[in-house]
Amino acid sequence: MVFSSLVFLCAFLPCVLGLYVICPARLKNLLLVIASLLFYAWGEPGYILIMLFSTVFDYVNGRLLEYYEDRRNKRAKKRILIVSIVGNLLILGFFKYTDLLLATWNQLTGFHAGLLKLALPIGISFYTFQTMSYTIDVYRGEVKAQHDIISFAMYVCMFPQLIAGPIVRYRTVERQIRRRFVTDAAWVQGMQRFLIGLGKKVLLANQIGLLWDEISTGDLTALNTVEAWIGAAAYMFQIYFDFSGYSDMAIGLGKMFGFRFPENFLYPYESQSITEFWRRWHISLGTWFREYVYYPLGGSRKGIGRQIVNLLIVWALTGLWHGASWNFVLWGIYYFVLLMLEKVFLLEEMKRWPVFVRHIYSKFFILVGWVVFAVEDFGRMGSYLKAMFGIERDFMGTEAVYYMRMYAILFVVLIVASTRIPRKVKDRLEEHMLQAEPGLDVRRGRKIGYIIYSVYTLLILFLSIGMLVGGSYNPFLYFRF
Amino acid sequence: MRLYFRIYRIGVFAILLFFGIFLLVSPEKRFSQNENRYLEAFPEITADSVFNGEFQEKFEHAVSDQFPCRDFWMMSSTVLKRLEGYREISGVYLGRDDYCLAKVAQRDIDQNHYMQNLRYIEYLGKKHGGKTSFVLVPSAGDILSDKLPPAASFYSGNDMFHAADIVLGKTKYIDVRPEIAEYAKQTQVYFRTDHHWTLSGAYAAYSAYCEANKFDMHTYGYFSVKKVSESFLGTHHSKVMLPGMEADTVYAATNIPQADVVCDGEEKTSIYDVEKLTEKNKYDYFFGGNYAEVVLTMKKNPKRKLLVIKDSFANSFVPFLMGDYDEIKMIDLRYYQDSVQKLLKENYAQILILYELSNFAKDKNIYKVVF
Repeated sequence: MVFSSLVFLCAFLPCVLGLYVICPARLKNLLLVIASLLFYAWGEPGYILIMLFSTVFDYVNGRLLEYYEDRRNKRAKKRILIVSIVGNLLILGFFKYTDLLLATWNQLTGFHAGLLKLALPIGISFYTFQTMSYTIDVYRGEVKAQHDIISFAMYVCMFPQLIAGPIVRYRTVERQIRRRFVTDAAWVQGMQRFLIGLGKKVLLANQIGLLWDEISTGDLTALNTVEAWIGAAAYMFQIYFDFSGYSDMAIGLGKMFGFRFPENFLYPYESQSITEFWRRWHISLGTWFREYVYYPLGGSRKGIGRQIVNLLIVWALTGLWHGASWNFVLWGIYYFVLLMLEKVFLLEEMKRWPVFVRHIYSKFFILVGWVVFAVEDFGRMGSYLKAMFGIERDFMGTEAVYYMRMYAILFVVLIVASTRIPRKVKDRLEEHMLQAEPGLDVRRGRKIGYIIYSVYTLLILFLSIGMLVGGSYNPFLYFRF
Repeated sequence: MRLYFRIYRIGVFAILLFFGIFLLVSPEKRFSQNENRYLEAFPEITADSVFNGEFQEKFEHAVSDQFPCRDFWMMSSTVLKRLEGYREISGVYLGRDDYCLAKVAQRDIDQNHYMQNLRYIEYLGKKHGGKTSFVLVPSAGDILSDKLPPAASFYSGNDMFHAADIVLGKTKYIDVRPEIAEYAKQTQVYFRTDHHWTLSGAYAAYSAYCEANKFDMHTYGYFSVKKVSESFLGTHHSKVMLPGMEADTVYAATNIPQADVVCDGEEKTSIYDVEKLTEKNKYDYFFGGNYAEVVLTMKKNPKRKLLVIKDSFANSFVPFLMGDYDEIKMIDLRYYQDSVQKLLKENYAQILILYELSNFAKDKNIYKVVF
């Protein structure tokens, strides 16, 4: 099931929210487990077994780590950790990367090994990373092993972040698994956050996604330069509003059940450099790789040569995490190169550039990066990049003019919405109310601000339902993750 | 402040629950007049269908189809898109002067398939030399290019019709495009809310057809054209659902010969189906819609027979020809399951193939005239 569907909005969500309120405190975790299993089974009835296996596997590993910790048996602990990591990576590797390896092997050797053609279990990359964070943290002694299997199952399967993140590390929610409260205020904040995310997905990402689809699925050799850049910009906004919309919905839902999930996006397109961009884009993934790959490899502590190798490994893996196709690896390495250049001299150099030049620089490379990311076939990717750089192509055609006219308003909305301006407006709403009406007391000002914002989120709900009923384009982008 | 939070919390919860409960208890709707299609019903639940995901998929379609006030939601999404500056919704251009025009861009047309279909027709023409003619009806956006939104892409009529002209040698290719364009200057040749041509558009093609075949042509007045409906909201309306769209008027020729009408073996009293005027798709007034085979017999023991291989555009065109033949047989290849070869063995005075261009270019059944 996905959040941006009528079944979720009008059946699943109200049922779970209602039951959660009347459910006795000690059964709340069990309720969330059952709800999450239903949520997952709706889309992937068979693959639920993999998730359950993963849960039991790492629950046992956690307990074993604790057992050997109590007996000060470091070697056994290490062995358990290796078993856990290898086990998780095998599950992920088997379902996600087998076909890529077979196809590459076939290509290199001329063999014709049959592909497995397995459908990727949705969310597998997210939950295996979560369970790995658990065993590693138990091993390191940063968290205690969870004794209650229901609580642990809830952490692994929890539907708000199950299928599209953020990747919540066990340590961030450890306390909330045991004790949490939902006040009316928190519930309302959560619901509003959820609705904002829903609007981002349904009203913005899906709309501009249509344009990317139209431009990228046709004959790419006929693409002209302006059209290619419009297409890349369309995808840039689609992926951001889709992904950050999902994160908003996840964070909002979490809040409605008393969890505090980490932020995953911080207005990444406001960034003036690639380094900054990656500090603000998919933060939970970056944190995971830093904590569990980069630092263990030695990070920057073993000299510059080793650091470069470590970074290369991290970025190739980050790329590969996004999908079983070599273009994702290329995309990761592309960012590795840019980040290295910035580290070595560009960041210093850039300090002398005017702000708008820095924006052009960062957006240029981000756009090119998205094309590498989105067009999986290398032949088509080359064709698309040729169009972007005007190699053997026309500069523009009537289609480009038409797209510019048709999507002009939407693009303006997208640009504004991807900055922190909407957030500032929300925060200032209360203050402005006070300034507009002198003599108004603070509490009433807040109320008016709150009412306006509430009406705004309801409007988003209604418009989103309209779009969903109208049966417009509503893709799920993370089936490759 | 607490009270305000309470109100919002209960309010949003109630709204979501309301839709859910409404879906659960409201009687199932079978058909949408507005969209002119059958709606998905809630599926039966079985272990198999749940396990392979079929149940879930159908269930989601059903929720969307059975959603309370479906038409209202569809309109709200169109209005939003319109406010965002969209000039195109669900493959329909929102053109000037309230015209909706189907979007058929050059890249939407599979050129190979189009050429292949043309070659099938030419093959037929070669076999039945001299008596086969081919009429390709231009799409509304080709003739009414001035109504298209600015810079909207559309196929090049010149190129497409030129290609037909080149491929067809033995087949008489009747170019109705200039005639329709000429008529378009004075009258409405396409509906604003539907993809079909109006009776004037069909008449323009009729006059080109008569000229090419050297028939005596009747004037438009001769057919005593009558208005049959003023409230036609066609297929474009179903897709776009923009509130306040102005309805089209449907005209039909009344001075036509008496004929026995048999549609798929069922006898009818008239070529016009008055009942369809009470339904959404009023273009179905002509012959009551599309059948695999329609036989019109104007004279007993017919001598001059016409075979029409066609799409729905012929339905309003054929009545003009009824005076010129003793019998007219209309075949819709999409539904016709018998052997077309056997059918072609009969002795026809003429064979006419009539399709709208975008329909023709993507039709997967034209091969039936050859194999």
